[in-house]
Amino acid sequence: MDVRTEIDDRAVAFAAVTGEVDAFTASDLEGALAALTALPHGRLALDLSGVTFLSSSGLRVLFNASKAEGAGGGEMRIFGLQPQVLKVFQLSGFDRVLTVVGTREEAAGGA
Amino acid sequence: MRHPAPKLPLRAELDLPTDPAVLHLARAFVRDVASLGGLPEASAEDLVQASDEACTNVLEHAFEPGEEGRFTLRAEVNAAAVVVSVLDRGIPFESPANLPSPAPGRRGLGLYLIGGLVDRLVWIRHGKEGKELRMEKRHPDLRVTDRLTAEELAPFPQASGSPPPQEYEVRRLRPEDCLPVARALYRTYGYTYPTEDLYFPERVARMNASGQLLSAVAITGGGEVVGHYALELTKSSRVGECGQAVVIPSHRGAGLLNRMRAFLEAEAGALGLLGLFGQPVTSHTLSQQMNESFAAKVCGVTLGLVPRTFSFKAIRPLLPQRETCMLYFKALQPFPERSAHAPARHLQMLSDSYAHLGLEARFGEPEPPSGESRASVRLNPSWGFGTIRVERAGASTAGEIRKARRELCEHAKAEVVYLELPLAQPGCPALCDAAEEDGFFFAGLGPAFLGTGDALRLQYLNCDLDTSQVQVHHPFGKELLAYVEGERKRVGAG
Repeated sequence: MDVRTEIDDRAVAFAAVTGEVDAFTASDLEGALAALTALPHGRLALDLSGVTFLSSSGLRVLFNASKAEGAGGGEMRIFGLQPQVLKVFQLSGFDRVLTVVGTREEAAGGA
Repeated sequence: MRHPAPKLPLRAELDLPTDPAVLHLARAFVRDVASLGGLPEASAEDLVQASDEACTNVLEHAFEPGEEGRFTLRAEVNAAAVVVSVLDRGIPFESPANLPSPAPGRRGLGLYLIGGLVDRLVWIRHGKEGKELRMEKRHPDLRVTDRLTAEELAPFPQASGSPPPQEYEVRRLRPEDCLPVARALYRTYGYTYPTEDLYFPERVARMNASGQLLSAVAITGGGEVVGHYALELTKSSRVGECGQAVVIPSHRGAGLLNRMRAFLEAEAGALGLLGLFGQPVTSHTLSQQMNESFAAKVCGVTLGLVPRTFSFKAIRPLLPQRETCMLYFKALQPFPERSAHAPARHLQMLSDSYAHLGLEARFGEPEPPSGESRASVRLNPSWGFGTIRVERAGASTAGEIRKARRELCEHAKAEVVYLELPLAQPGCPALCDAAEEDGFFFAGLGPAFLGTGDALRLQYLNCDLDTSQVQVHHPFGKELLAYVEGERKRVGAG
């Protein structure tokens, strides 16, 4: 698994995740998101289009990150779910708890 | 390039250290086995995901922190499904470290996902040999409605009178019979038959090839398939379930059901089965009368066995509530001599049930359960029920039953849980008392349902159920239903 992060000129914090997020790699994702969100930023946008596998351990990291953003008055949006990852979101009900949008633009912009 | 088809059943095993870094290896193993088994990619990925969650549960919960252990990933490819088991010899089930944490629990979420990803889920306590989580993913076969046109599936015209005298052949089902069987079923019942498997022609063929199902068909002289009746087999007991009966309207009255039943009884006898059971519905009494005509006797009430709907919601109309079935049994050969350790409260009802079945039982004294425990827990996701089967009543069994019931109802969302306790064991009455405190109540007698002998069947409702419209044919069946309802009130289960 690999995470690339950046904060763009609109102060949107982007994290592009690729590879497989399981119980082993979930802590790396957690660490990368913590490092990113420690910096001043507005919205947090997660690009999961490169994620081929996401287990419940990964779901929990996403859930906690979203909760932390919300607690700080911010918001986390996720985009680019592959079919199997989308299925896990739907099965677990996390698609209703987390904000899932269709495109990078929707994740970064708007209200 | 595609893998060549392996010789079935294929078994493979992977022995792994409890190091999270091996999860990737476990997934690669399952992905390859699923591909060898011919599962399409989406089904294979469901099994990979479920296996990863099961392995993660072992890594996080089966061993003390810092303890280095090993666990096994076992796969079986058979004609009907790909089955993956995760086995470990870590800390026991009932250890506080292994209890589900409050929602959204870590273990709870994993187990919940597994339940939604596979077709069958079983967790087994093997005593000293550790525990096993077994996940089955079936081939996503097409329904008959995907294979044939609405015209080909039009309802049969109303039959008038008996069929003209003619020769029929009754024989084992062949793969080419499956589509005609599914078509005949659909044209007879639409999408309302309670056993969904028959609507999937390839699935019936696969289940017959793997030995899970033994189907008989009735064929006219002209080669038309006009009837089907099947025997469902399990590896864990010496009884088979009879059902999936259909005779098309224009060939009723020719005694075909009786001939297929006789054929199946002969096949079952040749397999060494002790008896056959059936679970006829209670929205009418015809199927119960059919069981009685085969000399099967009523011995239980299975509340809410049939779900309101199958996954195929668009076509099958909703039942107002889960449907209750009666339990009928017929012995095929003399039972071995054995004793039954009945709870004092149910002694009279069990004694009457044995007498009604024409079976003899010597009632023995109860003793507290001791020693090792052997039990399995099954989840049938599409039917929405779970079954806890106790083969050996050990010191930890009562706690395991409570935990399994909670996992089935709270995490796996089972609407009904059935519990089978080993009457052959002196620890049975104490387990029954403990289960009744947890809300289980009497369901009936399951002769030879367990590897260790007869089962005392209990049930737990995780849904509303009104039995006032239930239709029961036999007077003893009515007595059983009244007893079950009385027990339901006594334990305070609604």
